[in-house]
Amino acid sequence: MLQYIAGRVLASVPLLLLVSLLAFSVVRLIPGDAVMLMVAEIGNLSQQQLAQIRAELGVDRPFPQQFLIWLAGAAQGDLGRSIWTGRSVGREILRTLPVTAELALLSIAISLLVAIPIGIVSAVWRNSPFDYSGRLLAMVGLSVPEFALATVALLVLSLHVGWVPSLVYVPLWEEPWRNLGTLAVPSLILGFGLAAVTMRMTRSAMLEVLREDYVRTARSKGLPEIAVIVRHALKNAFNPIVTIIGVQARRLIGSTVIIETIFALPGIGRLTIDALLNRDFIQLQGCILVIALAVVLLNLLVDLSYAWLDPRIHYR
Amino acid sequence: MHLSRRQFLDTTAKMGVGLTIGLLPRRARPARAADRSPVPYAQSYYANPPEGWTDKDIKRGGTLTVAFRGDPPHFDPAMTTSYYMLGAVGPVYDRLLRPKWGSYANPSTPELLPDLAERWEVSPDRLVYTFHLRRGVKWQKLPPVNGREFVAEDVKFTLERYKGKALDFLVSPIKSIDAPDKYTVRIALRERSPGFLPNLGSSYALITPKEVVERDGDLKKTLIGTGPFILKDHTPKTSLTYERNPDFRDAGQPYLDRFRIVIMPDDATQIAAFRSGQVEYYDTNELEAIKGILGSHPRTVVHKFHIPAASFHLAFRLEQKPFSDVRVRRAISMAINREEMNRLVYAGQGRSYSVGVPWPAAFDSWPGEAVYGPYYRYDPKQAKALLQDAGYGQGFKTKLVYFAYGDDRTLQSEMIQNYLGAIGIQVEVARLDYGVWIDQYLNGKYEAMALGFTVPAGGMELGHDWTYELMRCKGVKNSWHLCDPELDKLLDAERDETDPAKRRAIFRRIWDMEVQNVYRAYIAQEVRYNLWHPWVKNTIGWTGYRFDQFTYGSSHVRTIWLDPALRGR
Repeated sequence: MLQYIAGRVLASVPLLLLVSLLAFSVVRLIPGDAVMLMVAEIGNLSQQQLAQIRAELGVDRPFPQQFLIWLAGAAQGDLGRSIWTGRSVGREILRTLPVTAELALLSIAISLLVAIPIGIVSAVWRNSPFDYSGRLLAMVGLSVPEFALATVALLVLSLHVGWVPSLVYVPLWEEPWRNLGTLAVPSLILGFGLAAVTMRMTRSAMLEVLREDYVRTARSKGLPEIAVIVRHALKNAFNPIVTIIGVQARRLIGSTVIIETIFALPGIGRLTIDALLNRDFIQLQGCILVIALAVVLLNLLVDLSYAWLDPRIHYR
Repeated sequence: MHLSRRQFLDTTAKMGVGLTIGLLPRRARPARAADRSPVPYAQSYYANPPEGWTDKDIKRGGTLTVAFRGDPPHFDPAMTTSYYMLGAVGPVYDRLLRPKWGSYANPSTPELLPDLAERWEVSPDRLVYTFHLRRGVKWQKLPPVNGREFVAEDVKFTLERYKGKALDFLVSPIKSIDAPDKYTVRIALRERSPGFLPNLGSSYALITPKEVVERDGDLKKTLIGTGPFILKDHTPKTSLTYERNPDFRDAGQPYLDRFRIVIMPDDATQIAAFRSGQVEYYDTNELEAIKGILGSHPRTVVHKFHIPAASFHLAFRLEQKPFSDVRVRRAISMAINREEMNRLVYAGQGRSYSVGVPWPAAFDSWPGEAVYGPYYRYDPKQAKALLQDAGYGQGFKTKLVYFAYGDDRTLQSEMIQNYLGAIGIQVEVARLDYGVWIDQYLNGKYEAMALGFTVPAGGMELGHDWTYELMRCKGVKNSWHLCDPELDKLLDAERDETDPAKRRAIFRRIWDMEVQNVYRAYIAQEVRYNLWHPWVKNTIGWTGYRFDQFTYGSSHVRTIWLDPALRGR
């Protein structure tokens, strides 16, 4: 197992390098640069003055040189300083990552709490009114984009309920209740979108397993129905569910960008999009690297969980 | 003297009525303070114009919370012109001069008042400016400055540091700066620069301490000023919290205990936060959003900007065919139905004709329709005839680029596409990303047409900046490649003219040349609204460009006060 993990981690190094290089190159192909944005409201600086500002920020060097300087720093754990803010990229990521992680974990937890019970009951009571309602709910979750749901939620809450969660983020360790209050609505919205896919997958995986011979055997042995469903059917249906949770978690990173912007949450999604809009290549590079690393780790965790769920799977 | 009973009763009744009227309580009239002198520049309000008040009504204390759409990138005024930076540092720094604030301030021309400078003198040749500084002003008690006295060397250091950086435009006319004593600064200019003084009074020209630069290399992370508020906390992308500076030179100000900026990039979030009272200010140009808010919060004060900070127009690549032909430009102008654009885009609340410099700068007002001349009349038939004359009877294909500063820009671009389509000009419209837009527009790289902007306010001095550098053949802001030697002569004459009436006359000739030749085609003009909860008082700064609005300086927050009695109602 350890050998397998070590192999996977080593294999991810060239992948991360490739992702960094691609991001570094693609972003620089976009016209416009950070310096022009910094002086946007003035627009009367000469080329000489612009060149001086570029030199001060270190963005006047050739592209390969900038990339290698950045890479050497990254190898030593220094992701550089933001062109735009002058702040340490690593520290900015460390500051924003917990916000996104908390939001993602809460969303996944909500989605699982909603999706798995509904998926199981839908499969067990197939074609019942409950099943139809569950499937309809899943269709709504799949069809309505998160940004639309978030905007409508804010409008309905502020206009008709007269209550809006605090829209100013505070860290969990400073004011836990206020923090959870701030994250409740965005987590519910993200969780609802995730639950739709997970519920459909749970239902179809359960339907398949419930038709298996060993489930019929368990029932004929006189086991209580709840034991048949939870111990025999659900555990065996979990592999595709875990796979879809892994895929969903990756999709979640994209969704957090929008939700963090709408709910004014200072997460890594917003940090990334701001860096992109400001052409802050160094900050963007750091964000992409960390997001790629998170996806690699997530894939590894999903793969490792297969062996825990299904003893027939071994890693060499 | 004989007094009849009827005369007695008549006289008594008149005296009684007179006495009663005399004793009736009157609405309080604003006091004659520096920012509330009774100059009759009425501000316009869409809803709930605030009641008058006097100094006795001012309540001290409380926290004002406003939302910004973006985070300040850092706190160094020399390194960026980002208005989020200006909004964040404005409450902490001071400048030598400032414009008059408040509802009685002239919204088109800044009236400069002393700030860190007590008074100033300009030499007869307008080449030497001498500033006499206020004595006893202290920097905030934070390391490494530690509350030392503000002196002339600080001004010299600050202005010299701006050279070659993002604020070079402020100091580029300067030849030398001397500090003959602790409280006097003498600045000599290379050549006359009418915009120099108002630029020094703008929200960019902030005086900064040298100790921080000596320690950190820049001012990006540390914010220490001489101003009314001290920055207590900055959580990036979340909030900035300020507390009143107890050592501020004006013992009466600021009136607030705390000022808080929260970062909310999304418009729907800002509206929800405003409705729930989490923030006390909202800025928009969408009438529907205002109507929605007034529906749920009918006492909201809605201030309609008299003269907005920016004015948009259709800019052409004037040196290229077909736009180098004046007949084509006139045809395009005559194909645009500006009244309809105002009606559809701004619900008829905007102005049908936008404006560039020099009209409001020189004449202190928005121009009437008549002064735009014959080529601003909506006449598609005449437009087609002009195209025919120019040899484009079959029309042509072209491109229009814009940046969506708001949804109105998208609507305007689409309407222009339709109007020009009706006379045979096929327009491909491209919405650009901000970085690409700034690069293309400011550097004059756009292919054919752009939805460009100019600055209509600022008085003749700033108007000079935005006319001279924009319209001169070699002007540094001339991104539309305009070059007309006759116009250059007029621009030089305007720069050198000292008599205001004569300057005004030259500005009028420049205006006439512009509208006759349609160097740019003005379109319908947006209107902007600032919404405030009714308990926030004295909210108006100076609404012209480069001065004190929220998110564009915020210095006037020192004169804002809260009436807690109105909060719960």
